[in-house]
Amino acid sequence: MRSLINRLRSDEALMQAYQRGDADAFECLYHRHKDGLYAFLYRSYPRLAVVEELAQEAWLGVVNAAANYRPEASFKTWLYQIGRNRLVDFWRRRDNQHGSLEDLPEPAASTGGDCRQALGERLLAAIGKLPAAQRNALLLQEQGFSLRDIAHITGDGEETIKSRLRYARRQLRERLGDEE
Amino acid sequence: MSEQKHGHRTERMPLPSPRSTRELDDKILAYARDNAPRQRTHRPARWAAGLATAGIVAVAVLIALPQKPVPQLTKQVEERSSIAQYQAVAPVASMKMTSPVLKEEISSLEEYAREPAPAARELASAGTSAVLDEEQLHEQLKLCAELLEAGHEAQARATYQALREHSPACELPESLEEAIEQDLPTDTP
Repeated sequence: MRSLINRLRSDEALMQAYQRGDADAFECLYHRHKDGLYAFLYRSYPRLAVVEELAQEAWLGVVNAAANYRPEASFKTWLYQIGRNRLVDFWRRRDNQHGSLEDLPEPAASTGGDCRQALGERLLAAIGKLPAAQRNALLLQEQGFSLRDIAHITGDGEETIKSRLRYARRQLRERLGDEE
Repeated sequence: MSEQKHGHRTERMPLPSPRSTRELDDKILAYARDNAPRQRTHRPARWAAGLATAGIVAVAVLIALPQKPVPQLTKQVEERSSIAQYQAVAPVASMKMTSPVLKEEISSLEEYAREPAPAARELASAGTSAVLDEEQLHEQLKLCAELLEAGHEAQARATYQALREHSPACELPESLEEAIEQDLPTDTP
């Protein structure tokens, strides 16, 4: 019954319930967003071992900062902001902040199955070659965020995000077209 | 999260969407449970029970104590009752005062009561330590007799009383009539 009620509650209400010590509320929130964040991290850096680490760090960051959470911004925006910060920290650690994913090995998840999956792998590889800022904006948009939300998460202006997205798509088209 | 605007959102790309592992989920959820913000329980403070008891006792004492009327209220009630009495008596008084004979008599009596007797006035002016000689005493008794004869009995008696009080050595009789009887025959030739 309680989990059913939690499912009907908004992200912000669940987070506030967790702030009051309701661990079930957090569990509901986690199941709602865990796969989305995991996919975002994977698409940003397609190495499962690293993604596991980053996802864990991001969620533990949410737990640790729960007491300070204010529902002014949406929970999802806040969560991805934390996730992106962990990603940036990781890139810094790897001294690869401004680099691309060109040096990375082939995606671990690649199984070479159906056509759609193959396309996805090709797309991911092309995205990996984009500059980090363009890649971030594109992947966040893919997660359903608006220009304003992306600007909020990355700390950039909306116009900047708009132009980054335009360049990213153009480059993707060119690269995938070349491969055809 | 706001909705997509300006038509920039295109169809989702067929990107790989791996899911988090069960181990990772368990690890994160266990951490979240262990580190959940502490639930604030509103347990009453220790002094709250004592305060509540004291409050109840105070209310009980207030109820049990005999109710003393408020002084100001009492005063008002007294004032109102005296006004009521006055209002009840006033018509009778005004009725009495309408009689001219009575009115004159009352005013003369009031005047008399206000004024000391002539002999007493003289005695007072002479001083309480004054001692009257026999002749003076005789004169005063004569004056009292005259007042009595003139019908001013009250004034005559008041003068005689004053004379008695200021001449204790004379051993004057109690009543004015006795004193006149004892004194005047000697005086009358």
